[in-house]
Amino acid sequence: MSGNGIKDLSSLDRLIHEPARLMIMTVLFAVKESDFVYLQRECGLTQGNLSSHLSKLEEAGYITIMKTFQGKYPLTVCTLTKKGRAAFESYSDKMRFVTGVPANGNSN
Amino acid sequence: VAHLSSSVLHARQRASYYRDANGISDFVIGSALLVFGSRDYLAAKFAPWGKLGQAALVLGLTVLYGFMIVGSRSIAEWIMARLIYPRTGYVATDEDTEESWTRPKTPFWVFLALALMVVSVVLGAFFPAYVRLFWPIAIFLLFFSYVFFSGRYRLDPSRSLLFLIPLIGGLAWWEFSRPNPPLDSLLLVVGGSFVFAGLIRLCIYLLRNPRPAQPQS
Repeated sequence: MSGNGIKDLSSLDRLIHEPARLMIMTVLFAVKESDFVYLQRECGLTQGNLSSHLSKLEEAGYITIMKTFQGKYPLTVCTLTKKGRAAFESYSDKMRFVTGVPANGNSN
Repeated sequence: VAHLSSSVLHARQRASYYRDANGISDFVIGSALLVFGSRDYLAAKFAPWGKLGQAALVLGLTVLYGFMIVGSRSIAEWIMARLIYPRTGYVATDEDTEESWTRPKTPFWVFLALALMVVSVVLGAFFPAYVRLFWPIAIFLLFFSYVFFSGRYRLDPSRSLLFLIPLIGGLAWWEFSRPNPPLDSLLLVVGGSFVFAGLIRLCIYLLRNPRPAQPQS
């Protein structure tokens, strides 16, 4: 935070602020990597919706998408990049400032 | 990581539990124990092969057991790639940086096994009447702690029952049989309980999560 208080919120990352993308970023921040089906199940998004959000996050350089195979089963594996991780941490810090919720998740 | 929010922790815990939620790991470990526990029984059954044949069989099963235990994660991964990922997806966690729970590491179990052996020998020397009771109780406690640890310090009642019903039945059979079956047969009881619980959980998981009609990209 730059110390400007409430005005810092104007610099919130709008790409992450969208609920569906926030869910995706939260899951990917928590794990090493995950495939499309897992993300779809965890976030409750449709195939098309998830695809479009993943493309936006990939364009921003927040995630990498890799097509691979596990046996005969094709996997679309998504991983958070360093840039994405930093962006999510910065976003979390700003939101924490707004809500007053400390790092352990308990509100004072 | 100090700044983890509760939603991230929740997502991490879910991902961490995901691998064990389908019973495949239990099935693989149980199969390995069955292989190890059946060595003497199979050696006796194939006695006509002669001593060399029996020794080769026992050695082969021991090596197979070693491979199954060391490679249990890879075997489970191979099965999951065919049964689980097409249905509910793939996720990998970085267990080394996981702070939400700590799984006891292999040295802990090795130490525990050695400690049990020492106690058994001491008990045999001073209180031989209690040795017969010692192993079933020790195995029950070990099994109980496995269910507790692998459930991330939680005892899911349905999962615990799936494990404990065949285990208690098997231990009671061993305890009340006269004369007691060999100690190796306790491994068959434990392995059988793992396989039973693993298979039932896998069937329930597959029924609850049918394969999608078309592959997703």
